[in-house]
Parts: sequence; C-alpha cells; structure tokens
Amino acid sequence: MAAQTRPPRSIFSPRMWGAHALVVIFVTGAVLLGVWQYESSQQDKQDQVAELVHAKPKPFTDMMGPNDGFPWEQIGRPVTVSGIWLPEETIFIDGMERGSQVGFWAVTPVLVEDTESAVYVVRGWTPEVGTAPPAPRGHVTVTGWLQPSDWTDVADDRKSDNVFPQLDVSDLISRTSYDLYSAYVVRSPVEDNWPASSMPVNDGATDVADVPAPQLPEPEATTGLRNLLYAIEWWLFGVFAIYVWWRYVRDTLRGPEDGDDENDDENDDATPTPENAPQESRVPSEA
Amino acid sequence: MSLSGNLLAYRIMATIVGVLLVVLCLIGLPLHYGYLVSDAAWLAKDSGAGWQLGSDISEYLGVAHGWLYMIFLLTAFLLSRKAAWPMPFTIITALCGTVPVLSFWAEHRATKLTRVAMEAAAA
Repeated sequence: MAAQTRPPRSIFSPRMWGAHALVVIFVTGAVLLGVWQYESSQQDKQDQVAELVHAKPKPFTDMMGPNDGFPWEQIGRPVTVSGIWLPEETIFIDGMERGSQVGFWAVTPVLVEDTESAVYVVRGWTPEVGTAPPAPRGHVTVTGWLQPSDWTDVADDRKSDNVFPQLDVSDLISRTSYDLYSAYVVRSPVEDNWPASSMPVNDGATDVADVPAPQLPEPEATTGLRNLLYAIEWWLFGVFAIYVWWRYVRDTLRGPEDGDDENDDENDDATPTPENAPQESRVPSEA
Repeated sequence: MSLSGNLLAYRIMATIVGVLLVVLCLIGLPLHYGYLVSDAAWLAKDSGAGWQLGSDISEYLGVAHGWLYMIFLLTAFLLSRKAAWPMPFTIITALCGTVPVLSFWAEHRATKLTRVAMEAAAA
C-alpha cells in the first residue's frame, strides 16, 4: 500500500510515461495544426495577390494625375496606358536579372493621351544595349503593372549615356523636356486571354523578354487573418499543454501533501516524502 | 482566488463557450454548408442570405470561440487544481468543452463535484 501511494522518484519513472506521451502528442499536434493554419493564411494572401495581379486593368489616367504622388494603395495593379511612344527618350536600366543572366530593361516613355506628361514603360528585358530592338513609334495601348519610382540611391557613374542604374523618375527629369509622372509601368504579357478588355496595340514587346513586376500588390491586411489567429491559438494551446504537464510532473514528484490536485493517490494520510521514505533508507542498510 | 471564485470564473466561461459552440455548430455551419444538400436560394453559395450569415458566423464567431476556449481551458485548469479533480476528470471536462450541448453537461458535472469538495472542506 505504502509503495503504491509514494510519489514516483524521478521524472523517468514508468508512472510518468503516460503524462510524457500525452504532452508530446498534444504539443506535436498543436504545432502541426498551427503550421497548417499559418500556411493557409499565407496561401490566402498569395491567392489574393495572384488575383490582383490579373485584375481587370484600369485606365492609367484614372489611377493618378500628372502631378499626383504615387497612389500606394494601387501598387502593382494592372493599368492601361494609351498615348504616343517617345522613342528618342528610350533609356536602359542596368543590372537587371533574368534567370541567371544579367542584362538591361528597355524603357521607353509614353506621352499619355490627353495630357502633357509622359510615363516610363518598361517594355522588357534585353541582354545587351547594342543588340536591343529599335524603340517603337506611333500610337500605343499597353497594359502593365503600376510601379512606384525606384529610390535606391545608386550613383550613375556615366551621366552622358542613356543607361541608368535604376528607374528613379526624379533623376530622369533632368534629361528630358517632358513632364513626368512619378511612377512607371512594367508591360505585362498577355496570358490566358488576360487582359481581354484592353488588348495591347503596338506595345513595344518585339524582341524583348517579358519581365515580372518588382512590386506586387499588397493583399488586404485582413486576408488570411482568421487562419493566422487560429495558428497562434494552436501554438498557445501547445504552450498551455506544456504548462499543464509541467505542473503535473512537479506536483506528482513533490507528493500529495503539497500538490492539492490530480491526486491519483486518493488517500490523504501522511504519505512518506522522498526525503524520509522508509523504504529508500532501508534498502541500503539491508544490503 | 478562492475556490468559489475559481468555480464562478469556470462556470461563466463554460457557459459563454458552450453557447457560442451551439450557435457556431448548430446554426452557423448548417447555414454555411447547407448549399451542399439543398438547392434553396437563400442557402446558395456566395449569394444566399443564409449562406452569408453562416459564413459570417463561422468567420467571426469561429475565431472568437477559439480564443474564448483558451480562456475557458485556463479557468478549468485552475479550478481543477483548487478543487483537486482527478486528472481523467479534468481531461474529460476540458474535452467536453469542444462538443456542442455536451459542454453543458460537463459544466454541470464539474460544478457538482466541486460543490461536494467545497462542502467537505467546510465540514
């Protein structure tokens, strides 16, 4: 009887294995379920971004006026620019990667229809400036992703040519006589009949490779929030399970006189504590 | 906190979580997934008013219930220590908090056991 009610001597006693197994199962389960919920929350965001990237394009002039600041809530949204190419203003942006290759963006501004201002359009990627296709001329309707002007402060060490280290509109103002929008547009390829409503006309895509938009639209802050909250909840549940396990182990090892709960030893008589347990002290003396 | 305080906190949380669970599982989910078994217009996915209500219930109440269940677990755990519930009893009580309607039975049973312990302590 006394042997049964005595608390287990160590955390490795067979009687504790059930609790250890339970906490491992609970914590593993909680962590995995949390990871699963976290991944679905991220997936929701990616899905929404993919949807926004292929949303129905809106006229560029509806997004911003010639003197407006960049509409940050419209970053990466598809827009349609109509106007006239300004081929003599073509520039190249250095150091642009495509797969493992480093080349240039071919960029030609468009004088936007019904305005006095031009917006730079990234037509595509080319490996060499020398072999780049001639800039397009004439009227254009091009669909692309609205991007803010670059602002990384890279110095242009060859100011005389038409190659630039970044597409910084404030740097480019000085080299052109046109008023510039404080944004640029990355021409988007036609994929799966998108954008059906505004098919490109003379979009300058000839002999240049498509480039992805560097800045994608922002998903709404609440997208995936539910799954994220569930993820945090599952992880908290795991922490809680560890807490319960720790209290259980501590109280069981300490014995019933201190731990006033979870007494699988049901009796309340004076039970020997590990310190004064008679059997422990007797065993060595008998030997 | 006194034992009766622990008991009150536990009972409040058990009731809140129990009611939310019934609304969530017996009203929200059937409305949300009703379109799978019925062609009724008000249950139609993305357009029916019932479907919309069901979606809102599972979206907002679902998250709220999850967090409140955590608080419920904490109150149940604290009470189980104060009232010296056996471990299996504690686990069953916590698990029953996740089953609609059964949560009320578990709360009733736990309250009864705790009252017995309180009377024994007073005697």
